[in-house]
Amino acid sequence: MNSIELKEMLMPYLDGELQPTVALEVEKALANHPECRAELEEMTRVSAFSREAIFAPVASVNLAGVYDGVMARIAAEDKALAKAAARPGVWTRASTWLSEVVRFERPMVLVGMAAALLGAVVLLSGGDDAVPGMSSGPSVADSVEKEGPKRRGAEGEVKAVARGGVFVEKLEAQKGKAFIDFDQNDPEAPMVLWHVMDGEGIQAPKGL
Amino acid sequence: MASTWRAALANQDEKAIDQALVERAVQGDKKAFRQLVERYQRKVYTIAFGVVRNPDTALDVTQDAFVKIHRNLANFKGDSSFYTWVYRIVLNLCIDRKRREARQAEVDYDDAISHGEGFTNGPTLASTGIDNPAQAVHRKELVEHMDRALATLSEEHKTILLLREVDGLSYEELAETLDVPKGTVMSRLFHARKNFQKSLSRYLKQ
Repeated sequence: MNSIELKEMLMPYLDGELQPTVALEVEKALANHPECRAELEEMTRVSAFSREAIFAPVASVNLAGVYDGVMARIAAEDKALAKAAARPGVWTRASTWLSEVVRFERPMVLVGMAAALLGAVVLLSGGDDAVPGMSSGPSVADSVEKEGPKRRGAEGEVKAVARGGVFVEKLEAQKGKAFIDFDQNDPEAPMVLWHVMDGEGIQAPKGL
Repeated sequence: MASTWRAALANQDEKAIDQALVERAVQGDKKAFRQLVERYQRKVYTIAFGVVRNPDTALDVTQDAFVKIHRNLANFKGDSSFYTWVYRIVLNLCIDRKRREARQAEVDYDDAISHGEGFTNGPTLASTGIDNPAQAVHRKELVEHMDRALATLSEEHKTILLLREVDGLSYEELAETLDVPKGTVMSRLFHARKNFQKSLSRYLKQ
Protein backbone atom coordinates (compact mmCIF):
# COMPACT_ATOMS: atom_id res chain seq x y z
CA MET A 1 0.00 0.00 0.00
CA ASN A 2 1.63 3.26 -1.11
CA SER A 3 1.18 6.57 0.68
CA ILE A 4 -1.54 7.84 -1.72
CA GLU A 5 -3.60 4.68 -1.26
CA LEU A 6 -2.99 4.82 2.47
CA LYS A 7 -4.11 8.46 2.65
CA GLU A 8 -7.40 7.53 0.96
CA MET A 9 -7.96 4.88 3.62
CA LEU A 10 -7.29 7.07 6.63
CA MET A 11 -10.72 8.58 7.10
CA PRO A 12 -12.66 5.32 6.66
CA TYR A 13 -10.13 3.74 9.01
CA LEU A 14 -10.71 6.46 11.58
CA ASP A 15 -14.49 6.06 11.25
CA GLY A 16 -14.38 2.28 11.56
CA GLU A 17 -15.68 1.77 8.05
CA LEU A 18 -13.04 -0.67 6.81
CA GLN A 19 -13.27 -4.42 6.81
CA PRO A 20 -11.11 -5.88 9.62
CA THR A 21 -8.58 -7.32 7.18
CA VAL A 22 -8.19 -3.99 5.34
CA ALA A 23 -7.92 -2.16 8.63
CA LEU A 24 -5.05 -4.42 9.64
CA GLU A 25 -3.28 -3.63 6.35
CA VAL A 26 -3.68 0.09 7.07
CA GLU A 27 -2.22 -0.32 10.55
CA LYS A 28 0.78 -2.16 9.12
CA ALA A 29 1.31 0.43 6.39
CA LEU A 30 1.13 3.29 8.89
CA ALA A 31 4.28 2.00 10.55
CA ASN A 32 6.19 2.80 7.38
CA HIS A 33 4.56 6.15 6.56
CA PRO A 34 5.19 8.74 9.31
CA GLU A 35 3.53 11.53 7.29
CA CYS A 36 0.35 9.44 7.07
CA ARG A 37 0.55 8.80 10.81
CA ALA A 38 0.70 12.57 11.37
CA GLU A 39 -2.23 12.97 9.02
CA LEU A 40 -4.25 10.40 10.97
CA GLU A 41 -3.37 12.08 14.28
CA GLU A 42 -4.54 15.45 13.00
CA MET A 43 -7.69 13.91 11.61
CA THR A 44 -8.39 12.29 14.98
CA ARG A 45 -7.81 15.65 16.67
CA VAL A 46 -10.20 17.43 14.28
CA SER A 47 -12.84 14.80 14.90
CA ALA A 48 -12.46 15.15 18.66
CA PHE A 49 -12.64 18.95 18.49
CA SER A 50 -15.68 18.89 16.23
CA ARG A 51 -17.42 16.46 18.59
CA GLU A 52 -16.62 18.74 21.47
CA ALA A 53 -17.82 21.76 19.50
CA ILE A 54 -21.12 19.99 18.90
CA PHE A 55 -21.68 18.69 22.41
CA ALA A 56 -20.20 21.41 24.60
CA PRO A 57 -22.97 24.03 24.12
CA VAL A 58 -25.76 21.52 24.76
CA ALA A 59 -24.22 19.45 27.51
CA SER A 60 -25.85 21.39 30.32
CA VAL A 61 -29.24 21.91 28.71
CA ASN A 62 -32.05 20.50 30.81
CA LEU A 63 -34.31 18.40 28.62
CA ALA A 64 -36.41 16.85 31.38
CA GLY A 65 -39.56 18.59 30.17
CA VAL A 66 -39.43 17.48 26.56
CA TYR A 67 -41.77 14.50 26.92
CA ASP A 68 -44.40 16.50 28.80
CA GLY A 69 -44.10 19.31 26.26
CA VAL A 70 -44.57 16.87 23.41
CA MET A 71 -47.64 15.29 25.00
CA ALA A 72 -49.11 18.74 25.72
CA ARG A 73 -48.67 19.70 22.07
CA ILE A 74 -50.25 16.43 20.92
CA ALA A 75 -53.21 16.98 23.27
CA ALA A 76 -53.66 20.56 22.04
CA GLU A 77 -53.52 19.44 18.41
CA ASP A 78 -56.00 16.62 19.07
CA LYS A 79 -58.36 19.04 20.76
CA ALA A 80 -58.18 21.45 17.84
CA LEU A 81 -58.76 18.59 15.39
CA ALA A 82 -61.75 17.30 17.37
CA LYS A 83 -63.20 20.79 17.46
CA ALA A 84 -62.80 21.14 13.72
CA ALA A 85 -64.32 17.70 13.12
CA ALA A 86 -67.29 18.48 15.40
CA ARG A 87 -68.07 21.65 13.51
CA PRO A 88 -71.12 20.88 11.30
CA GLY A 89 -71.01 21.24 7.55
CA VAL A 90 -72.57 24.06 5.54
CA TRP A 91 -75.86 22.23 4.93
CA THR A 92 -76.23 21.23 8.55
CA ARG A 93 -75.57 24.78 9.67
CA ALA A 94 -78.01 26.17 7.08
CA SER A 95 -80.83 23.83 8.07
CA THR A 96 -80.25 24.55 11.77
CA TRP A 97 -80.44 28.27 11.06
CA LEU A 98 -83.60 27.84 9.04
CA SER A 99 -85.30 25.77 11.73
CA GLU A 100 -84.40 28.45 14.28
CA VAL A 101 -86.05 31.05 12.08
CA VAL A 102 -89.17 28.93 11.70
CA ARG A 103 -89.34 28.39 15.46
CA PHE A 104 -89.26 32.20 15.92
CA GLU A 105 -85.93 31.98 17.67
CA ARG A 106 -84.60 34.67 15.35
CA PRO A 107 -87.33 37.37 15.34
CA MET A 108 -85.18 39.99 13.70
CA VAL A 109 -84.55 37.71 10.77
CA LEU A 110 -88.29 37.13 10.45
CA VAL A 111 -88.95 40.87 10.49
CA GLY A 112 -86.31 41.36 7.84
CA MET A 113 -87.72 38.62 5.69
CA ALA A 114 -91.25 40.06 5.98
CA ALA A 115 -89.96 43.48 4.99
CA ALA A 116 -88.14 42.01 2.02
CA LEU A 117 -91.25 40.11 0.95
CA LEU A 118 -93.40 43.20 1.19
CA GLY A 119 -90.87 45.18 -0.78
CA ALA A 120 -90.85 42.52 -3.46
CA VAL A 121 -94.67 42.56 -3.67
CA VAL A 122 -94.72 46.34 -3.99
CA LEU A 123 -92.08 46.20 -6.66
CA LEU A 124 -93.87 43.50 -8.64
CA SER A 125 -97.33 45.13 -8.38
CA GLY A 126 -96.09 48.01 -10.49
CA GLY A 127 -95.34 50.98 -8.46
CA ASP A 128 -96.64 54.17 -7.12
CA ASP A 129 -100.40 53.65 -7.57
CA ALA A 130 -100.30 50.75 -5.22
CA VAL A 131 -101.09 52.20 -1.86
CA PRO A 132 -101.97 49.97 1.02
CA GLY A 133 -105.74 49.82 1.34
CA MET A 134 -106.38 50.75 -2.26
CA SER A 135 -105.58 47.51 -3.96
CA SER A 136 -108.43 45.40 -2.66
CA GLY A 137 -111.36 46.92 -4.58
CA PRO A 138 -112.01 48.85 -7.77
CA SER A 139 -111.55 52.59 -7.47
CA VAL A 140 -114.09 55.07 -8.81
CA ALA A 141 -111.76 55.86 -11.70
CA ASP A 142 -111.45 52.16 -12.47
CA SER A 143 -115.20 51.94 -12.54
CA VAL A 144 -115.38 54.86 -14.95
CA GLU A 145 -112.90 53.23 -17.21
CA LYS A 146 -114.64 49.93 -17.03
CA GLU A 147 -118.05 51.24 -17.51
CA GLY A 148 -117.43 54.13 -19.79
CA PRO A 149 -115.04 55.00 -22.58
CA LYS A 150 -111.53 53.57 -22.29
CA ARG A 151 -109.96 56.75 -21.10
CA ARG A 152 -109.52 58.57 -17.86
CA GLY A 153 -111.92 61.42 -17.48
CA ALA A 154 -110.53 64.88 -17.03
CA GLU A 155 -110.82 66.47 -13.66
CA GLY A 156 -114.24 67.99 -13.14
CA GLU A 157 -115.72 66.10 -16.04
CA VAL A 158 -119.06 64.64 -15.30
CA LYS A 159 -120.06 61.66 -17.19
CA ALA A 160 -123.50 60.46 -17.44
CA VAL A 161 -123.65 56.82 -17.73
CA ALA A 162 -126.92 55.41 -18.76
CA ARG A 163 -127.22 52.59 -16.44
CA GLY A 164 -130.73 52.04 -15.49
CA GLY A 165 -131.13 55.74 -14.63
CA VAL A 166 -130.13 55.68 -11.02
CA PHE A 167 -129.73 58.70 -8.79
CA VAL A 168 -126.88 59.20 -6.39
CA GLU A 169 -128.45 59.43 -3.04
CA LYS A 170 -125.43 59.42 -0.86
CA LEU A 171 -121.78 59.83 -1.57
CA GLU A 172 -118.99 59.71 0.90
CA ALA A 173 -115.33 59.35 0.49
CA GLN A 174 -112.89 57.89 2.86
CA LYS A 175 -109.19 57.54 2.27
CA GLY A 176 -109.46 57.35 -1.47
CA LYS A 177 -112.46 55.06 -1.54
CA ALA A 178 -115.85 56.26 -2.69
CA PHE A 179 -119.03 54.68 -1.47
CA ILE A 180 -122.01 55.48 -3.60
CA ASP A 181 -125.56 54.47 -2.95
CA PHE A 182 -127.93 54.76 -5.84
CA ASP A 183 -131.64 55.35 -5.73
CA GLN A 184 -132.76 52.86 -8.25
CA ASN A 185 -136.41 53.92 -7.88
CA ASP A 186 -135.94 57.08 -9.95
CA PRO A 187 -135.42 55.97 -13.50
CA GLU A 188 -135.17 59.55 -14.77
CA ALA A 189 -132.16 60.52 -12.78
CA PRO A 190 -128.82 60.01 -14.53
CA MET A 191 -126.00 58.25 -12.84
CA VAL A 192 -123.23 60.67 -11.98
CA LEU A 193 -119.72 59.70 -11.16
CA TRP A 194 -117.04 61.98 -9.95
CA HIS A 195 -113.51 61.32 -11.05
CA VAL A 196 -111.30 61.15 -8.01
CA MET A 197 -107.59 61.67 -8.16
CA ASP A 198 -105.17 60.31 -5.57
CA GLY A 199 -104.25 62.82 -2.95
CA GLU A 200 -107.26 65.01 -3.62
CA GLY A 201 -110.26 65.04 -1.52
CA ILE A 202 -113.62 64.48 -2.95
CA GLN A 203 -116.41 66.91 -3.15
CA ALA A 204 -119.95 66.09 -3.87
CA PRO A 205 -121.36 67.79 -6.96
CA LYS A 206 -123.46 70.78 -6.38
CA GLY A 207 -127.00 70.05 -5.56
CA LEU A 208 -126.27 66.93 -3.59
CA MET B 1 -10.70 -3.40 15.77
CA ALA B 2 -12.30 -5.41 18.53
CA SER B 3 -13.86 -2.21 19.78
CA THR B 4 -15.34 -1.63 16.31
CA TRP B 5 -17.03 -5.04 16.41
CA ARG B 6 -18.27 -4.42 19.93
CA ALA B 7 -19.71 -1.13 18.73
CA ALA B 8 -21.39 -2.86 15.78
CA LEU B 9 -22.97 -5.45 18.07
CA ALA B 10 -24.11 -2.77 20.48
CA ASN B 11 -25.57 -0.93 17.54
CA GLN B 12 -27.61 -4.00 16.59
CA ASP B 13 -28.89 -4.25 20.15
CA GLU B 14 -29.89 -0.60 20.10
CA LYS B 15 -31.78 -1.10 16.86
CA ALA B 16 -33.65 -4.07 18.33
CA ILE B 17 -34.58 -2.05 21.41
CA ASP B 18 -35.78 0.82 19.21
CA GLN B 19 -37.89 -1.52 17.10
CA ALA B 20 -39.52 -3.09 20.15
CA LEU B 21 -40.30 0.32 21.64
CA VAL B 22 -41.75 1.54 18.35
CA GLU B 23 -44.03 -1.49 18.11
CA ARG B 24 -45.29 -0.97 21.65
CA ALA B 25 -45.75 2.76 21.10
CA VAL B 26 -47.77 2.12 17.94
CA GLN B 27 -50.09 -0.06 20.05
CA GLY B 28 -50.66 2.98 22.26
CA ASP B 29 -48.14 2.21 25.01
CA LYS B 30 -47.32 5.66 26.36
CA LYS B 31 -44.42 4.39 28.46
CA ALA B 32 -42.77 3.02 25.33
CA PHE B 33 -43.15 6.34 23.56
CA ARG B 34 -41.76 8.11 26.61
CA GLN B 35 -38.72 5.83 26.50
CA LEU B 36 -38.20 6.62 22.81
CA VAL B 37 -38.34 10.34 23.57
CA GLU B 38 -35.89 10.01 26.42
CA ARG B 39 -33.51 7.84 24.40
CA TYR B 40 -33.31 10.38 21.58
CA GLN B 41 -34.15 13.78 23.04
CA ARG B 42 -30.55 14.83 23.65
CA LYS B 43 -29.34 13.68 20.25
CA VAL B 44 -32.29 15.31 18.53
CA TYR B 45 -31.75 18.53 20.46
CA THR B 46 -28.02 18.47 19.72
CA ILE B 47 -28.61 18.13 15.99
CA ALA B 48 -31.34 20.78 16.08
CA PHE B 49 -29.12 23.16 18.00
CA GLY B 50 -26.18 22.40 15.70
CA VAL B 51 -28.25 23.46 12.70
CA VAL B 52 -30.39 26.31 14.02
CA ARG B 53 -27.81 27.64 16.54
CA ASN B 54 -30.47 28.93 18.92
CA PRO B 55 -31.39 27.12 22.16
CA ASP B 56 -35.09 28.07 22.15
CA THR B 57 -35.58 27.25 18.48
CA ALA B 58 -33.69 23.99 18.99
CA LEU B 59 -36.02 23.02 21.84
CA ASP B 60 -39.03 23.95 19.75
CA VAL B 61 -37.77 21.87 16.83
CA THR B 62 -37.07 18.97 19.22
CA GLN B 63 -40.65 18.97 20.47
CA ASP B 64 -42.03 19.41 16.95
CA ALA B 65 -39.95 16.46 15.83
CA PHE B 66 -41.34 14.16 18.53
CA VAL B 67 -44.90 15.29 17.81
CA LYS B 68 -44.32 14.41 14.16
CA ILE B 69 -42.73 11.11 15.14
CA HIS B 70 -45.71 10.28 17.35
CA ARG B 71 -48.16 11.10 14.55
CA ASN B 72 -46.28 9.03 11.99
CA LEU B 73 -45.08 6.16 14.14
CA ALA B 74 -47.57 3.77 12.54
CA ASN B 75 -46.08 4.59 9.12
CA PHE B 76 -42.59 3.60 10.24
CA LYS B 77 -42.14 0.18 8.68
CA GLY B 78 -38.62 -0.48 9.87
CA ASP B 79 -37.15 -0.43 6.35
CA SER B 80 -34.56 1.98 7.69
CA SER B 81 -33.29 2.23 11.25
CA PHE B 82 -35.42 4.24 13.64
CA TYR B 83 -32.75 6.87 14.26
CA THR B 84 -32.10 7.57 10.57
CA TRP B 85 -35.86 8.06 10.26
CA VAL B 86 -35.82 10.36 13.30
CA TYR B 87 -32.84 12.37 12.04
CA ARG B 88 -34.44 12.86 8.66
CA ILE B 89 -37.51 14.32 10.39
CA VAL B 90 -35.33 16.57 12.56
CA LEU B 91 -33.26 17.78 9.63
CA ASN B 92 -36.34 18.54 7.55
CA LEU B 93 -37.84 20.52 10.42
CA CYS B 94 -34.56 22.42 10.86
CA ILE B 95 -34.45 23.23 7.15
CA ASP B 96 -38.08 24.41 7.23
CA ARG B 97 -37.35 26.54 10.26
CA LYS B 98 -34.27 28.08 8.73
CA ARG B 99 -36.08 28.84 5.50
CA ARG B 100 -38.83 30.48 7.47
CA GLU B 101 -36.41 32.56 9.43
CA ALA B 102 -34.43 33.28 6.26
CA ARG B 103 -31.18 33.08 8.08
CA GLN B 104 -29.12 31.17 5.59
CA ALA B 105 -25.42 31.57 6.07
CA GLU B 106 -23.43 32.06 2.91
CA VAL B 107 -20.29 30.00 3.31
CA ASP B 108 -18.02 28.76 0.60
CA TYR B 109 -17.32 25.12 0.33
CA ASP B 110 -16.25 22.81 -2.40
CA ASP B 111 -16.74 19.08 -2.22
CA ALA B 112 -14.71 18.64 -5.38
CA ILE B 113 -11.39 19.38 -3.68
CA SER B 114 -9.10 16.39 -3.81
CA HIS B 115 -8.43 14.36 -0.68
CA GLY B 116 -4.76 14.83 -1.56
CA GLU B 117 -4.88 18.21 0.18
CA GLY B 118 -4.91 16.37 3.47
CA PHE B 119 -5.09 17.59 7.03
CA THR B 120 -1.44 18.44 7.49
CA ASN B 121 -0.94 20.67 4.44
CA GLY B 122 -2.44 23.79 5.97
CA PRO B 123 -2.94 25.15 9.47
CA THR B 124 -3.21 22.30 11.94
CA LEU B 125 -4.69 21.99 15.38
CA ALA B 126 -1.45 20.38 16.50
CA SER B 127 0.35 23.66 15.79
CA THR B 128 -1.98 25.52 18.18
CA GLY B 129 -0.59 23.53 21.07
CA ILE B 130 -4.02 22.29 22.14
CA ASP B 131 -4.07 18.58 21.73
CA ASN B 132 -7.08 17.47 23.62
CA PRO B 133 -10.34 19.44 23.60
CA ALA B 134 -11.56 17.67 26.71
CA GLN B 135 -8.57 18.95 28.68
CA ALA B 136 -9.07 22.48 27.46
CA VAL B 137 -12.84 22.57 27.42
CA HIS B 138 -13.00 24.43 30.72
CA ARG B 139 -11.55 27.36 28.82
CA LYS B 140 -14.55 29.42 27.85
CA GLU B 141 -12.63 31.00 25.03
CA LEU B 142 -11.91 27.68 23.36
CA VAL B 143 -15.53 26.60 23.54
CA GLU B 144 -16.48 29.89 21.87
CA HIS B 145 -13.89 29.34 19.14
CA MET B 146 -15.14 25.82 18.48
CA ASP B 147 -18.69 27.07 18.33
CA ARG B 148 -17.74 29.84 15.91
CA ALA B 149 -15.79 27.42 13.76
CA LEU B 150 -18.78 25.11 13.56
CA ALA B 151 -21.03 28.04 12.68
CA THR B 152 -18.86 28.95 9.68
CA LEU B 153 -19.59 25.61 8.01
CA SER B 154 -22.15 25.33 5.26
CA GLU B 155 -25.44 23.68 6.17
CA GLU B 156 -24.45 20.48 4.36
CA HIS B 157 -21.09 20.24 6.09
CA LYS B 158 -22.55 21.08 9.47
CA THR B 159 -25.30 18.50 9.06
CA ILE B 160 -23.04 15.64 8.07
CA LEU B 161 -20.63 16.43 10.86
CA LEU B 162 -23.50 16.55 13.36
CA LEU B 163 -24.95 13.25 12.24
CA ARG B 164 -21.57 11.57 12.25
CA GLU B 165 -20.45 12.85 15.63
CA VAL B 166 -23.73 12.89 17.52
CA ASP B 167 -24.74 9.33 16.85
CA GLY B 168 -21.77 7.89 14.99
CA LEU B 169 -23.87 7.07 11.92
CA SER B 170 -22.06 4.82 9.46
CA TYR B 171 -21.38 6.05 5.93
CA GLU B 172 -24.25 3.91 4.72
CA GLU B 173 -26.62 5.33 7.33
CA LEU B 174 -25.48 8.84 6.49
CA ALA B 175 -26.13 8.14 2.81
CA GLU B 176 -29.61 6.90 3.67
CA THR B 177 -30.43 9.79 5.99
CA LEU B 178 -29.12 12.47 3.65
CA ASP B 179 -30.28 10.70 0.50
CA VAL B 180 -26.90 10.95 -1.22
CA PRO B 181 -24.48 8.30 -2.56
CA LYS B 182 -21.89 6.84 -0.21
CA GLY B 183 -19.10 8.49 -2.21
CA THR B 184 -20.66 11.88 -1.61
CA VAL B 185 -20.87 11.09 2.10
CA MET B 186 -17.14 10.39 2.26
CA SER B 187 -16.21 13.46 0.28
CA ARG B 188 -18.58 15.73 2.18
CA LEU B 189 -17.47 14.46 5.56
CA PHE B 190 -13.83 14.91 4.62
CA HIS B 191 -14.35 18.51 3.55
CA ALA B 192 -16.56 19.28 6.52
CA ARG B 193 -13.77 18.21 8.85
CA LYS B 194 -11.18 20.00 6.80
CA ASN B 195 -13.14 23.27 6.84
CA PHE B 196 -13.76 22.93 10.54
CA GLN B 197 -10.03 22.42 11.06
CA LYS B 198 -9.22 25.52 8.99
CA SER B 199 -11.71 27.73 10.83
CA LEU B 200 -10.76 26.53 14.27
CA SER B 201 -7.00 26.85 13.60
CA ARG B 202 -7.59 30.41 12.40
CA TYR B 203 -9.52 31.31 15.56
CA LEU B 204 -7.01 29.62 17.82
CA LYS B 205 -4.14 31.54 16.24
CA GLN B 206 -5.79 34.92 16.69
